[in-house]
Amino acid sequence: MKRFLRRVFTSFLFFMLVGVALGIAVAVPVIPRPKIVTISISGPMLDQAFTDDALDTLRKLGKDNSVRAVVLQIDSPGGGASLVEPVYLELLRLRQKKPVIAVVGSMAASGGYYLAAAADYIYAQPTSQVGSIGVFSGLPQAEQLAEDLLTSGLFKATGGSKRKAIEELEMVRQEFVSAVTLQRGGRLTLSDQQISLGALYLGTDALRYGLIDEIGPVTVAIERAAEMARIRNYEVVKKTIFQPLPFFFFFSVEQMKAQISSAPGYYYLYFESK
Amino acid sequence: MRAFISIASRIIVVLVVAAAIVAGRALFFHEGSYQPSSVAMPGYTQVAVPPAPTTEFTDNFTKGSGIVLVDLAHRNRFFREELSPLFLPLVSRGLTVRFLSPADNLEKELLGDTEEEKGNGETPANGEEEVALNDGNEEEKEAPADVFIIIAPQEEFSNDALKTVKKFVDKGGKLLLIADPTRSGTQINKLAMGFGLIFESDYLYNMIENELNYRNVFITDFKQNGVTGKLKKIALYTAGSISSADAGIAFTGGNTFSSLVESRQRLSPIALTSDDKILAVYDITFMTEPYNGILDNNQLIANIADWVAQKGKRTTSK
Repeated sequence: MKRFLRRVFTSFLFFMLVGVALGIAVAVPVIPRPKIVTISISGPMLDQAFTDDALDTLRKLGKDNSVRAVVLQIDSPGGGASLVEPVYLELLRLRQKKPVIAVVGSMAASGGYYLAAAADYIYAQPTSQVGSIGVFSGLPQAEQLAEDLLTSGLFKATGGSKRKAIEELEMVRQEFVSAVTLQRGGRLTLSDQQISLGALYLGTDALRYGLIDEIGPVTVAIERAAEMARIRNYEVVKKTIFQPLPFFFFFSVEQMKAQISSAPGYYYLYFESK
Repeated sequence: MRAFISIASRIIVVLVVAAAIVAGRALFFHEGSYQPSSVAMPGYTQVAVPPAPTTEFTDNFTKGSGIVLVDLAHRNRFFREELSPLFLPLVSRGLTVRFLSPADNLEKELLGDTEEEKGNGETPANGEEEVALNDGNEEEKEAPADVFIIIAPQEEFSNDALKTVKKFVDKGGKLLLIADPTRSGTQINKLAMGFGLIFESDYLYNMIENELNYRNVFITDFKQNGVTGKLKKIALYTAGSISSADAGIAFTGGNTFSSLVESRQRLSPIALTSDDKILAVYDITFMTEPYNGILDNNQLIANIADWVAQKGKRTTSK
């Protein structure tokens, strides 16, 4: 009898261990340890390499099942409109799959706030600078005619008339305001006209006006992301998006004019008007 | 049968334990499943701007004569070509437009030759002579100006020059003072304040009703006189406000503010002194292409040209 029981027990134990091994073999790949990825966006967004890196990173995060939430750490005065917008749209696509939380460090101005607005929830610090919702651009200059250089159309060398440039600036302004009001919705207490003033708000003011949702550091943002994603015992992974210019690089009026003349276009960028 | 039950039970043990491991791991890492809320994706078709409010305009005028002197002696921040919408109506009205260069004698240009100079038949030495628009006859070339136009000077008028201009106005001459907030460094107030006018260091803006940009404001409130005749609505492009006792003739509406002062008040970018001798305009852009074609801007320019062409009564004594 004893021998029989010992045999049964040994057999039971053996198959339990097989079950454990099988369970681990299945569980680990099927239920990976969840991750929260923090992405740092710091400095002016003026390089196509930034956008390419951001889009690539966000796409991979969207496909990676182990990544359950994303936290954007934003410290940026903004950048080129056509460099910021694709990242905004990709963030919205990511939000359709998993929670995205934004945390503002010192500043989320203009294009920096454009990206923050794409998040489910925005944190900032009490003295963060948030806002500067607006756009600027240079107007086309008079065409320099030359005998031996011909263009095929009136606006080939200038891109359009001054009037057209002003119309387009107004359209881009509407798009920016719409991008913010669409995502912030009823949380905003500012009117479109007030938003269009382009003011920068302290974190505490931004909270009052609904530009952000809560005051808090990145650690709280990570906990919030985990709560939204309904995960625990997660891993936090840090990533940085390629950024050639440091955060403290601010543009003066002269530098902006030089930037616009070397790379004409529209800019969601805060700069010091000195 | 016993063997079958034995094998089945072993498989069940394996599966149950495996399932427990999987479930345990799931519970260890997850509190539940995440249901993403719907994300509003932007549509870009609703973004639109109104078309340019251009107006057909025909300049009706009476031809006359007179001399207009335009200051180029104080590093004035404008190009003659950009103000052709203003200069052309002046010339069309038969006016001779002269340009004052730094080497010219302001007193002679505004007040004419002294009796001594006339008697001696001397012509004081001038520097490089500016070519006048609508080069008039010899008499007109020598005659003092009837109207002095000063546009965005970057240098202050000297005390002697101020005295000359004051004397010119006292003797019936007219002044057209033009500035623009975007032409920074303009030094016009030392001259303007002598006539009770101050060009403020501000610009006007309206976030609600504007000509495509908050700095492009509409003006619909006018004090009726020759300069504002036939005006219903004009658009000014980064204009500033002119302070005076009561010289304002065009006024901002309720939603137009000054960048300098946050409180709501009635601001005036165009002013005309009560003696009809000094006209002040605090925007240059509306007088340039293509902005002159917007709303009643061309009518305002024509009215300004008519005002310039109406010579004041000149006294001859010096």
